Amino acid sequence: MEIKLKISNSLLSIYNNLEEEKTIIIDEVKTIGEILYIIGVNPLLTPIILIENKKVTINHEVSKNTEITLIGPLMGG
Amino acid sequence: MLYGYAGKVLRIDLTENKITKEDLKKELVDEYIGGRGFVAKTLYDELPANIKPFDPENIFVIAMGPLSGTFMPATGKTHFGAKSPATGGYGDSNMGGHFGVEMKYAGYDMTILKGKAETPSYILIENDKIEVRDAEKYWGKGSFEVEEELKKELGEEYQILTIGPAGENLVRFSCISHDFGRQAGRIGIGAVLGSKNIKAIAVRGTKDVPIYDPEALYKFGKETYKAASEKPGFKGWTPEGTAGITNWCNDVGALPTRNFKTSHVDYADNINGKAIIDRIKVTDKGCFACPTPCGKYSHAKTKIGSTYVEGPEYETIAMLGSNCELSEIEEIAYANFICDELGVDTCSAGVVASWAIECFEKGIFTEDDFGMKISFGDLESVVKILELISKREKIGDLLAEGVKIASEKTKHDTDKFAIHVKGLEWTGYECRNAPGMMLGYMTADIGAHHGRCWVLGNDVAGSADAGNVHDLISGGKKINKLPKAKREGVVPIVLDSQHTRPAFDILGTCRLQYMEIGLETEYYEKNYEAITGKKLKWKDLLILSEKIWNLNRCFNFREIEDFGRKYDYPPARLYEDPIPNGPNEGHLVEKEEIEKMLTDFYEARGWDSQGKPQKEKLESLGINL
Repeated sequence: MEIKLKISNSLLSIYNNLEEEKTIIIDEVKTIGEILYIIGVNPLLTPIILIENKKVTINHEVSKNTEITLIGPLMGG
Repeated sequence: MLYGYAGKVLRIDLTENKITKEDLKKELVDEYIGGRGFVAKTLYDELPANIKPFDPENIFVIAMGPLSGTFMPATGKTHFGAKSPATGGYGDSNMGGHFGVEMKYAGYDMTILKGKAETPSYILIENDKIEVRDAEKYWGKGSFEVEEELKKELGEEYQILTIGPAGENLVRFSCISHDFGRQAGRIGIGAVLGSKNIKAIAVRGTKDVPIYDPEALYKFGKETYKAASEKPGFKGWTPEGTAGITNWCNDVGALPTRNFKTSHVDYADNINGKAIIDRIKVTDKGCFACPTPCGKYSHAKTKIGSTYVEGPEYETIAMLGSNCELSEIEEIAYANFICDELGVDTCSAGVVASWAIECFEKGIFTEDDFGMKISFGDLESVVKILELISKREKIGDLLAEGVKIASEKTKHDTDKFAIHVKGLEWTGYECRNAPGMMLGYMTADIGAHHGRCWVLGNDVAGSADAGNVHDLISGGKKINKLPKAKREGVVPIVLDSQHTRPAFDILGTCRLQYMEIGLETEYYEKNYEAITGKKLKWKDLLILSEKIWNLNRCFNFREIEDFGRKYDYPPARLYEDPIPNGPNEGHLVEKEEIEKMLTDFYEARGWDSQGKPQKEKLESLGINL
């Protein structure tokens, strides 16, 4: 399965080694948390995770080709 | 011709009833560009030394930047400045909406008020026509009420700012309101207007602002919007707005709770962004030219009343919600409305109210002081406190001074849990396991304000690297306890944040499109060049930010007697009392670590051990005082 990750600026500002888009291949069903571990992102730093513009949790299971948007910590107003 | 600028400075001497217009000086534009840069330079140069914030000689500055009101997305910010009623030092505050844009279209990049009107008044600005009008019939009324009535009197097309009764009564954390829900909330800026007998300013502008290359601006403006709309953060940011981080702050143990006694609640799902959408939201609401409208216009019903209100934003959720233990989003929205209508900053109000309730619990204040029993978690208590403050009745007269002065007068060691820095109340991030964020609050020029430096994510990253990340992920479970965050290495991160944030305030844009959406700095450079005809390197803008930080530090040394290191300490609760529960249970930043952070910070800034900028540093930045 091809997992395309889109990573927000607020997360990139913490992880200098990441780029705005990253694609990984997984061969079995994995949770978002496990995918984050693969790319080295701490789930504490992804308050908003979106699939098809809907919020999901780190326990959400990914079982097909998916685009995941990871948004890092944001300041309030 | 100064492309990108309206070209005029408007001066109104309210005592002399004298109105003058002068050309915007090219030297000021070349050196300080706009917005917060204009405010800092003007306050340093023009404010008579050692006057009090409510002295008629205090000046009230309104300033916009060269990008304000253009095709560049999200260019609706307005900056205000004055000697701060909260700290007695440098003060500025900004708001979104449409007011500054209209001021620029009326022909003014900067407006400077001084003196005091003889009777309650409002200022009408219609391009070249400027009048100081009688406002007796508006005095004593709420912010929204007056905005609505002025729009009926003048026309819907007027952009209006108002103060509430709190500003009239010189409450040191009163705000300016605009557009039925946008506020310049901090430093007590509304009280400066109140001290001048000014209830409102209404503006209508129909002039052009000269643009160096309109075709290029049109092209770059569209490119900028397209680039922003394709960013990962674009769609994720808007639905919940700033309230979207409530659960995150709670999960990482940074949600101020019960006057900062702890940092975690078990009712976060009742007060978060989803609760706003599901329970109270009517529609999204945005500022001028904003592609990501983060404002939420809401309708909330509570047991004591119902209301429409813009919000609540995250900071309000934290300070009026968890910090006062209001545990339902409707209650927070209602308290938000009361603050807006009375004209007080929701952040400071939440700190002051929670401090007052804690004093009541400890038996320091009594039922007679409030006219009722008050408690955490009770909407009626919070509303009662806000009303007493805005009228300066009973204990409200003391609380209206803010927690620094109120605790000094109250004694009983209440200063230990008076949560402020320099006199400005803290905002929505508990920092006993976030040393970088704490240092940012400690060293901010205006006092404890998150908008000056926000590095909580870096603190959490530093904390998590130390320990149990793998367990957290593989287990997929709720976080039970976070390891202690590292102090080492926070200074350069804090400096970077402190220098990046003013850049947007100087240009006249909202920073969210860069910070949260991820818009590259090259878009700001390209639009700036198309607008002004001048090249701008982002690194040079950061140097200007550093210059402003140093200038404002010098202002504080000049204006605050005995200013120095001791003014940069957080309240004792944050370094003496470990957090009692939640993800950060047992953590605090020890005093010794605070001293080390300050020493490292001063050294990195080129300041001495008291935090005073050294001559060599000032000269290197082109500051010759």
